[in-house]
Amino acid sequence: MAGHSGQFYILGIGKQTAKGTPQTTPKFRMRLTGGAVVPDPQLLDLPETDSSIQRSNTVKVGQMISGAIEGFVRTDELGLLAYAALGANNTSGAGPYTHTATASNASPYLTLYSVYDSTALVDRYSDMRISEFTIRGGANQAIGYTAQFLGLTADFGQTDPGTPVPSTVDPLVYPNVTVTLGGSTSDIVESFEVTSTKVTEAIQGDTGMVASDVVHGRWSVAGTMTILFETDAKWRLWLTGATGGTQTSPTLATEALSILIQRTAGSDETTIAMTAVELRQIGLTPDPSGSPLRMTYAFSAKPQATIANTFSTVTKNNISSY
Amino acid sequence: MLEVTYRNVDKTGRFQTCDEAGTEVVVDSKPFTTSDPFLIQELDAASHAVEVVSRKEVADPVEPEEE
Repeated sequence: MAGHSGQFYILGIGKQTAKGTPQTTPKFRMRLTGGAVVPDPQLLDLPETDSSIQRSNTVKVGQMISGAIEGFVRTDELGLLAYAALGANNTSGAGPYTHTATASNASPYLTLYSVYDSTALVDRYSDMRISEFTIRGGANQAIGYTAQFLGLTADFGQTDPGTPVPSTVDPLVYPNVTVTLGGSTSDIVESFEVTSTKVTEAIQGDTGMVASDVVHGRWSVAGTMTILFETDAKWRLWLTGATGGTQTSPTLATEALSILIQRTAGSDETTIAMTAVELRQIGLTPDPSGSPLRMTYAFSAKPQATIANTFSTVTKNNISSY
Repeated sequence: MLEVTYRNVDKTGRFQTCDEAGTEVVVDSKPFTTSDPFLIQELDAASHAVEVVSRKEVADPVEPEEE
């Protein structure tokens, strides 16, 4: 018997132009570091009496396609993932290109090809949407992402499209990171994590086993950073609304936050930009180990009158269009 | 009804978003006209990428009378 090595897996991803029309030509075939998108049949153990100690019969009452994938951030793939997660994208330039992803009410549907060892198991999942997208990085690490999918249609026993080859762009790494907080760089941010979340539900409807649609609701962005503890400025900013404040204040502290991750200026970089983040909490506790203290900085993107200013990703690469 | 024509603010620009049904809409350097209130809301909010060429009230389409 021949088994299959766990690393013989690739996930094709392509953007659909409309719901119900699978994209059979993937834009990328992505390597993963973890997670999976899988069919999730909904089972119901019938809640009825039957004069027996055995549990009742089970019926199948629906199916969704869901799951989160994890991978390293490559700037070519990131542009598509950011567009799908936020819902809008503007591409400009004549090569290299600049892709600015911003939030909108709807988002494009995607088709995924889940391919185990070329032919061992090939599923196609279509009418997929991204509900949550996280980018994270930490000192001495590669930059990673998590993308949560929810979708409608699974087709089994498919054929691997076989192309394109996986990205040849190297993952971004933490030495590529520059954090600008409150208009200045501090050089002491050791990790960050930013998550865009669209409340997203599958609407089962009356369309049989396959749900009727995947619909987005409220959108928000939140995150954390780990920063070397030097002074009480952020602590007092959080609690008083001013870095030099001495009394509790109703003022909600806000600061501009921009995270640049740049390997090659203009052609291999991304910027995560927020006009203002609300300072939600500074976490600081003594450490009996004696290590230098770090504080956690929890934030949320402050809604702006122009939604593009609330949160955007500006990715520069050699991809002409998504 | 309101009818708005947009184009990308950049000659090489290509703005993509979706209508309420998830069908992709592209606004590039060529004029793009819509009377879809959902899309008008989306495109008005994307002033960093698209600009209004014209905004006008036009007559509602006449629906055929039922027999």
